[in-house]
Amino acid sequence: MKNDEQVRMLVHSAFDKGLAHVEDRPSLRYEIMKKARGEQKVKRKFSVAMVCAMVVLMTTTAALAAGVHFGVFDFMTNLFGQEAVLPQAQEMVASDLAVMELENTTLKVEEAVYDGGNLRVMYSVASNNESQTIEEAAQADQVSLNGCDWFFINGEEIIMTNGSYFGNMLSPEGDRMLCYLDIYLASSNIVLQEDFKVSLPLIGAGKDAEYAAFTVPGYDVAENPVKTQTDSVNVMLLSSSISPVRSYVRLRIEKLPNVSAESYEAALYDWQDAYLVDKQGTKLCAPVEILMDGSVDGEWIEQTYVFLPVEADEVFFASTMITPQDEWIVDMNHALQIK
Amino acid sequence: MSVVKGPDKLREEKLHQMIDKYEKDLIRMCCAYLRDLSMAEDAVQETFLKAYKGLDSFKGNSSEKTWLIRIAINVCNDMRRNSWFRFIDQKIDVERLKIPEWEQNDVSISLMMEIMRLPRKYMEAILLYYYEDMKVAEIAEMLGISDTVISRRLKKAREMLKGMLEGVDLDEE
Repeated sequence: MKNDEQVRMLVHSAFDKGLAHVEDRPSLRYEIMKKARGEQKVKRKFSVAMVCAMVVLMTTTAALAAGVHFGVFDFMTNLFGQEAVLPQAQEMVASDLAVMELENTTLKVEEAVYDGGNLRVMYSVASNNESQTIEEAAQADQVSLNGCDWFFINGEEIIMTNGSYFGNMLSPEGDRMLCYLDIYLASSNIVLQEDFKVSLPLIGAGKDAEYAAFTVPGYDVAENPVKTQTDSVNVMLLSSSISPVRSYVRLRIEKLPNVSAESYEAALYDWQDAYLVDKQGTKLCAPVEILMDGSVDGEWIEQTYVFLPVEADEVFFASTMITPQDEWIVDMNHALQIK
Repeated sequence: MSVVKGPDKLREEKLHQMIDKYEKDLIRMCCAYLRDLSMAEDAVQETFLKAYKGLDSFKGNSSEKTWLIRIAINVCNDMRRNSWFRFIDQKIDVERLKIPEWEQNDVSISLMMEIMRLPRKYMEAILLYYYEDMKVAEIAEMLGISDTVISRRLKKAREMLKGMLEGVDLDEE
């Protein structure tokens, strides 16, 4: 094992070399000074509205070859590689959900899928006449190529949830714009076990918006609380779902009485460094994302773990622990069975 | 650093000095945090503007660099919490880091990428301790947590990087 000074040298070397091309930017200084003088209002470049307005250029997938179906999962594959979803995930996809013929455009909700955590929707916009580009036609009809920042689920209005995102790209055939919405419902504690109605305001704006409305199958989410207790915390599995698209584990961790803040925090780290494992404790998957669902008041925390899909008959959720030999291992003594 | 008060020109001069001294460092640090050079530049811009607005409130209890790093970390964390970041945060892309093609397979670059892939708290500990050369106590004070927690994070981060660190020969570096 390298000593502290050696590690320091390696880290310095790595970042100095890796970011050697990062130099002072005269234009950046100019921008800063201009804004500091109040000559230009600082843009909040990362507002939700702006997120939805961002056009994400997706490139290079096999499906780009003309004539190949490009679906909701192909957007995910762009992000996560070939292991994005299991083949059986296709059975969960609802297709050809809505068509809206407008003066200049045709809007179709082509596919949607809900996996117990996220609602993913792909809609397309095509120009109705050859003299107009898709963008021109969409602008004429006030059709959004940039998703939306609120929506309705079963008639209830919901502001775009935390952790959602949007992307679009021209179809492989070049005849329509494919738009993708990945709405993270679990981040707002929205769980839909039964079929549910979705309305997206994709035409017009504000009160005058018109909605693309369609129904999406629900997904069975297990909500049987399972508990375990370590030396410093109570851990409760609030809900879990394992689907061919993604797996989700929602957990509540509570500090035990008379436990020091440091021991509590150490336990939280152990539970943040958690995995889906099989019965023998072999790691199947690490979380691709951990989102804090609840508030932290120093005594408890609730968080959702998102995993890529796994294939196993029995699946456990397990934290890690450090052994007296300083090895980090999966802690099967406190593992929670989720399948 | 002395407390800056008074005419805007003096404040602007101070801002110039800070940009001269810390711009490159901060862009690199924000780049590691955000894994995206363009976003890092935005973060640094925001950091300097916040510092400029807060010059009067800076009491000199920490070094100027530590103060700016603290602001930059907060700005980066705000960006990371944002919906958009979640989209681009899924993988580390050499294109977004603008690393020249001929260097992408270099072992040092691989180590940097591996550090960036660590969960944020571990990456943060490695970056501040080993790259920004801050003391454990300074990092703890800056992040509002105990020295023990920082030491533990460093230990675990080193453990997570063990394979990569052992694979790099210092002589080659």
